Amino acid sequence: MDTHLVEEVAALTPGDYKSDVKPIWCPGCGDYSVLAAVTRALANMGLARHNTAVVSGIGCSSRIPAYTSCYGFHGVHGRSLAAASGLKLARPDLTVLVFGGDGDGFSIGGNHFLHACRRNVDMTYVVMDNQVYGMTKGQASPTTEADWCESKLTPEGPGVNPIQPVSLALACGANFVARGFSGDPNEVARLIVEGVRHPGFSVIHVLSPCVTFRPEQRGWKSTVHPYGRQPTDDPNEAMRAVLEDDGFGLGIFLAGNRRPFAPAGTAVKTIQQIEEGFAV
Amino acid sequence: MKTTILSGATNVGLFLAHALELENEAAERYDELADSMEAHNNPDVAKLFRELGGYSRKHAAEVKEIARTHGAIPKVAPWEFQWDGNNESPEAAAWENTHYLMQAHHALKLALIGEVQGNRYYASVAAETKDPEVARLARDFAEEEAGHVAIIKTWLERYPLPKEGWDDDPDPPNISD
Repeated sequence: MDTHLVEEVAALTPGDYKSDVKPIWCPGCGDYSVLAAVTRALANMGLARHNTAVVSGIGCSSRIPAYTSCYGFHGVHGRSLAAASGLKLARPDLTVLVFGGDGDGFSIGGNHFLHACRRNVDMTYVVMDNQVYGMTKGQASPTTEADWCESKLTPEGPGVNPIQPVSLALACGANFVARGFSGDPNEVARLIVEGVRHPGFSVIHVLSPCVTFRPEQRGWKSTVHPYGRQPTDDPNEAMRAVLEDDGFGLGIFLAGNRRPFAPAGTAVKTIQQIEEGFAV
Repeated sequence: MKTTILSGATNVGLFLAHALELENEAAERYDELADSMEAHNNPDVAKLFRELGGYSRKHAAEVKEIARTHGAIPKVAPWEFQWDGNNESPEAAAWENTHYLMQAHHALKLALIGEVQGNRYYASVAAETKDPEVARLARDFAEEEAGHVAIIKTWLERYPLPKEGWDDDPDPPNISD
């Protein structure tokens, strides 16, 4: 632990990374805690707000860029990773954080997720997973259990096995894979710091309850548990361990050694040259 | 029963860092809860949370004042604090116990839980530490938290448990007809 004077400790606070826009999530929503975790992580790293970009897609959780004071882009449904990849490749000096939910990330954005993992651009993706489409009134999402019967669209349950985000991230080549729980925002903050500092594409799967459409998820607090193993740099070892995981193990599964994707000799064009390319 | 608290508060500086974080996280949470209640048109409870946040900030300022007389205090990452079983400051209200129709009684219950946990935290430090200055400060803080517990209990007498059906909503957010 570094020793600083009281004034220095107070110099950068999580509040500095919050905007004046107040969240409209339902009271009790896990996403509040993820926002707290993000701002605590950013304050801990002391990142300059003008050099930090927060990118998202569409959904409840994707509202997060508006709630931070960093530069943000509230993008198109499922396309947050495409937009963020372009941003990071064009501006490698920026710290790029991407946020979204399970529907945005694994359904309409599923293909982008696969390729973001294998491309391994140096950015951090936080998926706030509540296993439901909350913004559109509670339909089953790609991570919903096969027998969840509470949606009128799937009265007998979706009937298909849910996607396992951590396994998928490992299989597709993400370089850092971890899982947190919104009920422990300080640990989520630690995972975000680790993810940002680790080179390459970092995936942080955060279990974040939807208290409106999945009120039973309030019980996740007693379901989650430590993953119980030290992080490995071997994706095969991580995958073998994750196959035995029940989906509620928390911690870092992989801190790999893959070299981040960074094309050499990126062409730099002026705004005028770019505009000419779009001229009709 | 011994706790893991002392692994975090091994000296006055670390103890005061914990005391400061305890109040800061509580204030931050109350502010978030107030914002959330305002967004969901529950102005009375929003106002109450805002006041509770103000008290936490006032206590944080008092801790800072005490800290100035003890020299430098360490900078501790949020996840390095030792709260013995709690993931956050023992005074940070639990998000999952909130509801958009909650009333003053429920808000005060949340505050009471926080103050009781804060009192227990300081009492545990006072009982376990071998540092006489940490023990003295922890006893003082525990006593102050006990005072807060008593105050909130008197407030709760003014706001008894609402009747069953307080959360009835003819147009609930999860309606899908």
